Formats: sequence, structure tokens, C-alpha cells
Amino acid sequence: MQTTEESKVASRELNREVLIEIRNMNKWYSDFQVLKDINFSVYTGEQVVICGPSGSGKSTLIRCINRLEEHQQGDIVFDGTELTDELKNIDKIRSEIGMCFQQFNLFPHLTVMENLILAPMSVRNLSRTEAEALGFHYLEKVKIPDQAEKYPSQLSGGQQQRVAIARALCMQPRVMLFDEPTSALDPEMIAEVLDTMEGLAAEGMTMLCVTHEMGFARKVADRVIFMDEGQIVEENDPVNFFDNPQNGRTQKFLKQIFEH
Amino acid sequence: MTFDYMAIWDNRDILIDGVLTTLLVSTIAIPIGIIIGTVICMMRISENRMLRWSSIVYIEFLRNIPFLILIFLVFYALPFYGLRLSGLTTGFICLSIYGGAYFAEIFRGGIQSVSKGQFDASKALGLKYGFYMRRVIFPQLYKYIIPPGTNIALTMIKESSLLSMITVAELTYAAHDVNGRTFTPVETFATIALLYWLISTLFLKLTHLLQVKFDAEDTQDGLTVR
Repeated sequence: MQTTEESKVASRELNREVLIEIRNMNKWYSDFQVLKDINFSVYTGEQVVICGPSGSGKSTLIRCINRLEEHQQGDIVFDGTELTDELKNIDKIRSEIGMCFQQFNLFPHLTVMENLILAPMSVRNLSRTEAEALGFHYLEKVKIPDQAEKYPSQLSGGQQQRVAIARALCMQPRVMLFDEPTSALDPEMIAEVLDTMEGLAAEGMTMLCVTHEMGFARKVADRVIFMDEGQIVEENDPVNFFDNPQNGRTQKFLKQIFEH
Repeated sequence: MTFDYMAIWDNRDILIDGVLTTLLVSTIAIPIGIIIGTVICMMRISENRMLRWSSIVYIEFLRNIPFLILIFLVFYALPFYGLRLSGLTTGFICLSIYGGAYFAEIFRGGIQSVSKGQFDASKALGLKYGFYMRRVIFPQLYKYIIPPGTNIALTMIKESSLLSMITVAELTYAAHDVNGRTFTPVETFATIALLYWLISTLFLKLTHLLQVKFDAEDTQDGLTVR
């Protein structure tokens, strides 16, 4: 017999729905193995930060999740759908996963609003009016509602990244992937992007962020994953990760980062 | 020696017909070449190995043989396999597929100039291949492909003079005709040189207008505003 307390815990555990599951995943660039035996899951509503030295495979890892890169071995399962060569699965997965890039990758020939409504109209079959309403909603959320008619290059880097976040949100994704979203920004613009991301986290958006912003990781993440040389070396909650790192490589990495 | 203007003036009808035929061949072959180039380019960047390899064979074959030999192959060799084409038809076909090979390479270069991030973002949003090529990638191509594309189109106009070798009565053929009647090679060939120059210059002006139009859109897009 379970006690009430135990069954509560059990049911909470059951409610932690696995959104992304990666099992025994390996990836090579010809002879070079970039990802080695990757295993981890992301649960709905969870914020996970991936950090590690450059070249450790963290960007490659999250780019595999929406098939911007192909993995050669192992499974990636998104919400019950396995990521295979099947185009139907790839399209479904991509339309439910939002992504932001280091270089923003806004479409330079389209206005901010056109950037926002392109995918909702084409993939979700929304009318222009519906899509624009959605666009304005998310522009307000990222705090630049008055820039809708501008072109990306007329905006600052921080604004561009926030538009990119809004563009991804317009598809109302189940999870957001961030690939070093602040690495290309001037220091004074980093804060505005991190604030936006914090706001998203507070609303319960499932997030997987590759970032070097350790302050953000400590404040927002439920879990921090440390990667080195294509492997997940350590995985822990932020308090333990930063204050009590177990692995030698993690210790060395954190020491380097916090020395300056 | 005096310059015999009358020899040219008296035969102006032949020369005008020649100009018209040259214009006809070019204005048909250039657009068709662009369409062929687009198709071959899509094959060239396709992930399908068969499509990619057949496009490479096409491009390599056509870029590495003289245009004159291509014409002779179609005009003199195909009849042995039961396909007899008129000079003009041969001209349209050869000039189009010849230009297509070069256009394909220019388009491919243009697509490679568009940042890889644009493809990443399109895919990540779930846009379909045909849709993002049309709405995201192609609109960013113009500035990369208009200048080299203009060069190929000009080359096609000038290469069309070789069609005179297979009885197409274009400008060069007309010049031979006039020269045969009047024996005024200096006057005749100087005149058609001038006419080719005129056609090319007019064509350049046209593409220049196109370039200015896209540049203006770029500026309006803020691409050149920073």
C-alpha cells in the first residue's frame, strides 16, 4: 500500500511528461565523432542549459533535435514521434520546435511582421489577419511592438534577436531551442535578450539553451548539462552544478569561466 | 579606298532581317536558358545522387565543348539517328541548353552566397523546401546573379553568330550574303560589328535598369542602410 504522500509524489513523477528523449545517440562528421553516446531527456515545462567549451558538440546536439543535422546512431524522440528520414515526421517536429540562433537569421528582405507571419501562414494555414494578430501579440511580449514595419537591419542586435524569438513563438512551439542566443551581441544588449528568455521560462515554456551565460543558467535552469569532447560529462541541478561540480573537467571549465 | 555606304544601304533589308533573326533567337533562347539553368541548378544542389550527377554531366559536357561543335552535332549528327532539325530550331535548342549550363552554375553560386543561416531558420520554422526557396532564398539571389547572368546572356547573343554556319539567316549570315553580292567586306563587317555592339549595349541598359530596380528595393529593405 502506498501512503498518500508517496502516491502524490508518484503521480507528480507520472505527470512529468517526457517531451524530448535522446537515447544512445552518436554522430560523426566523416571520421570524426562529434557526439558520443548521448542520453538525456527534457520534460515538459523544464528549462535545461547546456554548457561546455567550444567544440564540445553542444550546438550540434541541439541542431540534431530538429534535424538541422543528422545523427547516425541512436534515437531522438520528440513527443512520441521518432526522428527518422521520414519527411512527415521531420515537418511535424520542426513545426513544434522553435529555435533561435546565434546570428538571429532573420530574413533580411522581409519586414519584422513579414518575418513573423511567414511560417504561421504557410505551415499553420492561418489567414493574414490571424497571423498578424499573433505577430503583434508576440512582438509585445518581446517588448518591441512598434518595430513591425521595419526591416531587420534597421534594428539593433538585441532587437533582432528578440524578433527572432517572437518569430519562433508565433509557431506556438512546444519547446524552444536556443543556440548561443547572446554570443553575437554587444554586452549592453545581452541583458534585454536574457530578460526575454527569463520571461518565457517564468511562463513555463520548455527550453533547451546552449549558452555561456552562467548567471542565466544559475537563475533559470532546472538542470545544467556540461559537455566536453562530444560527451555529456555532468548533469545536475544548478546549485550543485556550480557549487559542487563532481567531474574534473567541469571543475576546470567553471574555474576558467569564473576566473575573469 | 572609299567607304561604300551605298552597298550597305541598298542591302538594308537583308541586314534588318538579320538583326531581327538574331534578336528572335536571343530573346527566345535566353529565357529558356534561364529556365533550364534553374532546373539544372536545383538538380545540382539536390540531395538525390542521380539528379546531382546527371546535372554535373550536363554542365561539364556543355561547358567543355566549343559551341560550334554542339551546333554541328545537333545539325549534322542527329539526322543519322533519324532526327532532322531545321537550322533555326537547332539554333534555339543549342543556344538554350548551352546558356542553361552556365546559368545553372551562376544560380548555384548565388544560392551558396546566401548565408547558411537563412536555410537553417527556414527549416527550423517548418517551412517546406519549395516554399522557402521561393520566398526566402530566391529573393536574396538577384544581387548575386544579375551581373554574371548578364555576361552569359551577352555571350549567348554573340555566340548566336555561329548559327550562320548552319544556314540560320541571322546577322552574320546576312553579312556574308551582302558581302557576296557587293564584295565590300570592310563596310559590311564594320556595319554588323556596330549592330552587334548596339544590340549588346541596349541589352546591358535593360539589365542595368533591372539591377537599379533591385538595388532600390534593397535600400528600401534596409539592406544597404545601416
